[in-house]
Amino acid sequence: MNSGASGAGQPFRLASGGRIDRSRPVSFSFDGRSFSGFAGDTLASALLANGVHMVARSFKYHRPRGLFGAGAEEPAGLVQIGRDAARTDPNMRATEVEIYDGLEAFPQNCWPSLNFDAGAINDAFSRFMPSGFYYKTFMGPPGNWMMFETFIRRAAGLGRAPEAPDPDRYESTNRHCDVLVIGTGPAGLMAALAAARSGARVILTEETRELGGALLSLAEGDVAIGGHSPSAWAADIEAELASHPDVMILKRAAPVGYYGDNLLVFNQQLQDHLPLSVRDPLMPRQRLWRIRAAQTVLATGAIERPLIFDGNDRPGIMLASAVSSYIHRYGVLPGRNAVLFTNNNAAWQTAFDMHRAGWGVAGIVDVRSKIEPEMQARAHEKGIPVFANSVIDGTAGRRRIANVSIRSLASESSVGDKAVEIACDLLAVSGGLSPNVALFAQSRGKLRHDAGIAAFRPGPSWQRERSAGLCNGTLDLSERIAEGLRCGAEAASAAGFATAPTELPAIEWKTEPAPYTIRALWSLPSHKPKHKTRAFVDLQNDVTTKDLHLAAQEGYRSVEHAKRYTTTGMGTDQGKTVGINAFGILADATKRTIPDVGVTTYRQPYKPVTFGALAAQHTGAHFEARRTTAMHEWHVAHSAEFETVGDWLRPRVYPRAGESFQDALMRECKAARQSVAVLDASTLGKIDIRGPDAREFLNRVYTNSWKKLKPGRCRYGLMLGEDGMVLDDGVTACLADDHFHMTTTTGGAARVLSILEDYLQTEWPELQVWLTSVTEQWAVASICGPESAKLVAELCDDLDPDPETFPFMSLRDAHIGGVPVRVFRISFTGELSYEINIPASLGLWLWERIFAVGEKYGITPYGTEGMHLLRAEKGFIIVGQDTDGTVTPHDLRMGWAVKKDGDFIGRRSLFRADTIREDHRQLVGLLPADPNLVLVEGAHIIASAAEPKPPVKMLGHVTSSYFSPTLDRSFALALVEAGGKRMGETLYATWEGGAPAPVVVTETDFLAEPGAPSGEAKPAPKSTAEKPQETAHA
Amino acid sequence: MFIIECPHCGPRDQAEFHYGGEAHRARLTDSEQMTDEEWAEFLFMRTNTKGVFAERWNHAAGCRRWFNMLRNTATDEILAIYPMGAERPAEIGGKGPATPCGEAPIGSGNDAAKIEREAALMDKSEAA
Repeated sequence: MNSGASGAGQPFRLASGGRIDRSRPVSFSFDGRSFSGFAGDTLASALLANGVHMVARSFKYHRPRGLFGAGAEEPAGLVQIGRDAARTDPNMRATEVEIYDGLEAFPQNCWPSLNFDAGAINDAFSRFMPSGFYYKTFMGPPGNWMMFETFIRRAAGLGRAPEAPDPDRYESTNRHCDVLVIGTGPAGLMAALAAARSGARVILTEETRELGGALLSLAEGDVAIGGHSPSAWAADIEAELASHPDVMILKRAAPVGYYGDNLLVFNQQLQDHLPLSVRDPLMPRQRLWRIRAAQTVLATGAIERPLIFDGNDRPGIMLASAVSSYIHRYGVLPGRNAVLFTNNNAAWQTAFDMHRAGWGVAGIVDVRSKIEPEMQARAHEKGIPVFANSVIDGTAGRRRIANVSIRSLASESSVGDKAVEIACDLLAVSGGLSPNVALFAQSRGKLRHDAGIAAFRPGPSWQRERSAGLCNGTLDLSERIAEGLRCGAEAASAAGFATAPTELPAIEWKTEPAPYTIRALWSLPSHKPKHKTRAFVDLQNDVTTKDLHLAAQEGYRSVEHAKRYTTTGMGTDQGKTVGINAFGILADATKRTIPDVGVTTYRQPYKPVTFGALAAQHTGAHFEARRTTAMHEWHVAHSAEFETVGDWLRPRVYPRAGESFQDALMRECKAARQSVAVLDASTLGKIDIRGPDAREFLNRVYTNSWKKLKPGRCRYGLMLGEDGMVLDDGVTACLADDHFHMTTTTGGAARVLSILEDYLQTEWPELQVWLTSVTEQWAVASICGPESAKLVAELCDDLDPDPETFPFMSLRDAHIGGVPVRVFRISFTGELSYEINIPASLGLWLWERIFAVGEKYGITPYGTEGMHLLRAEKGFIIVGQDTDGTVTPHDLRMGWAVKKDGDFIGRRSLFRADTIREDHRQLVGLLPADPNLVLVEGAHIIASAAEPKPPVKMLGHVTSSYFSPTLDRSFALALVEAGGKRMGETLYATWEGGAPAPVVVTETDFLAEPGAPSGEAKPAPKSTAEKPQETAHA
Repeated sequence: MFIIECPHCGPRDQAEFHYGGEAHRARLTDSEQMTDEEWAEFLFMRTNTKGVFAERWNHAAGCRRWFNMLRNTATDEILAIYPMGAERPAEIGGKGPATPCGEAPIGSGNDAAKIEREAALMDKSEAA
């Protein structure tokens, strides 16, 4: 055998024919060797032209594997494309990869090389690796899996995933159409033509680079369609379709899946076939199409099945239909001395095709006993020996088939004694055609078993689709064309378009093919005892008939269970060549019929899809949008460190040059307590609430009472879920009797609005209330500190900020430089505070003005970290940090915020036996005995100084923990079992890596101690206390 | 990805909608009188119907309006769309999907739904 010399040799290229451009040679490499092919070749056809069959090692046993198919069905010929860490594609079917200059392809799953592979040792131990091997082995002593995992991960597997970010662009797009036709064989072309002529909007999709489908694998002279060769007829139809303005043809667009309501998704390759140097980096590499079709015509063809016999996985064994495709579509003869092994008469054409191409056919082996006499005669006249009622029950040849052994069938399950050995370099096999019903099944149509073709074909439809041609089990060419025409016209008329009669083209055969006959024996007999045979059902997953029998023996009767146990039909090809072969063997093994065994579920995706195409343009900021406030530029210019809160970017601290994070934090907090500091609080959720029933609405959604809140006053509210757990909090201001301004946590804004809308629309439709999100309409600067009143007085044109006349928890309208603003006297730090709200477009202007005026007061910007620290000093909660969805107002010891009378969301749950338990965890303060020890947030609270043996009784955990520059010591908030009753108790905080640290339980307001700086104290009695504004995490 | 006919905006892709769970679960006003068990039943327990199910949907990426929908959860067939507060359409609620095994006729994910059985086989499985 001439093994492919590099260069333009191509010893297996036919002198003429094929849909390749012989004027454009293409050079590429495989496994480090350079080869030459022609434009129009796939990697598989070009390798075959160079005499290369073996391209891979198998998944489990590392057996040599060759090219088996010629299209999407390829189970074995998987390669890695490209070597770049960012631009490499694993598990590419060599039969679908179009070659281009500079293409680099590599074999997979072999080390150190394809020809000498260390993993092939697995093959020698194959009898110790039956189906369920992994489950069986690793269900053993614990630790075994850890030990074996490294080995398994290396030994089993396919290609390598890229390791660097994908540099290519992708795109997804939506389309609507009246008629969608999938597949461009004779039925698909005719369907598209009939629909197009009705004026319907038609989309026609084809997964390869050109239209024609099975027509392109026919010999040009064998049949004339409408007086043209098959490819010319296809080209004529393509030309007419292209002339219709409402027809769109998508080439290189492979179906991903058929979804509900006639939604079909396709993945179109736009640049994968181009040399890297000419790819346009600004254009997408692939495009994902989501097409919603009024009507669909499926014309997805058929997939040939292999035959299941001992030794059926050697390189050089290939589907008969693939051999014909290589001859007619690519001008390549995959072997010089071939044997055909078939169980049906359709595959005989392949032997005749090979013979006509001028190279040898050493024999036709047919499982059938009754062979059509005219076919016998054709073989005889070409001098091809025919072995009827016979099987191949053995093959030889290490990296390429060299020999087959033929025996006649004594019965369906036994063979005769006498073997005929024939040398060959190619074995074409055909186990019959299976209609490609994957998309039909995904559309939830029911399959019907057709014993006549020994396959499943479409039964009743579920969606607005119809199948035409081979995928409908229609095998005769003229019937396929007629069915395409009928389905296309039906689809168009169902979509509301009048169709004119279209004439069917005349079909003239040189030799009319005989009607299809098949003798389906799922597992072919062998002279060897069963346990000595290796007949592969699934070439990709190394599943043999023995594995399926074992599964049946172990009780896996359900086809879905047997599939998972043996991995049959799984993997990147989703068992396109497996299907009914496996169901038939399971049926035999469990003594049932195939319809009784059933089929496995056809799932999306039909073919592997790159993650890039699925993500499409929705990456980076297009995937996760970042929201920034009106003052963002200023924060950036003042070296703010940012953190994300919900979707927002918020300044965390503003470190000065040379200043550490901690130093900056301490400085900002001191400024807020001792002079004046300002926080950008624009991100708070803000909801404008209007309507005559607005007050009643607030009364129902918050735990406290809103009946007496006067215009110009504000109130803090806790919002619960119906389960009684704290959901959100914030301050709401009364602007007028029927107009309120609600604030929510930054991260909770959207959720709170949705919940409020839900209650308004569904539970209380009688309330006249309207909600509007105004979060982005207002920019907010929160000024706090003892000097803040002076600053605000100077800042505003017309506001007296004196806390005596402008009391805590009230608001005023004012002007700054003539601009109307709302000023709220609310605080989240406990200091004297003024929160200025201004239309967002003027937010930066306001901010800069605050700094211009405030310079003489030493105005300091502070970020969320300082805000968190300052509020924790006052014991103010952050929903989501100090609460976790299991915390009630009583757990927060905020019973003062819960009204005694009247219903509100969550009220009933507060009286459940469990929520009133005495030992619930409650929020308390903690002072570590070591004033310099800052507890780890999340640290466990236990009762003893030494950590006892597990299980350790956990009393609670630390929710917030900081070092306070004002107290000059560390402090923390924690949820502790019955915490309210533990004041003064010493407990211990513990976390990994440290000894339990003693802490003293205290109240949560750390500044309420004698001698603490005077602040905005909570008014007494507590029931009317105003809890300042919340600015929280999501 | 089915299409939902929003009563305010017209047919839109399912992706624009949020699911709101079982419909006709009005918030109770007499919860004070209920036992913990009754309250927990109201709060946490929902029916998980295979077949015709009344559920709430919200056109979250559109008009943000809530509405009710009768959907066959086994087939995604939408049988009715009606306003919040309206009664569940009675004439549709009466007839569910009926097959010999009580399954929805198509699309329920089991073998019976995937392939069309011959009458003889059906008889056999019924006898079994």
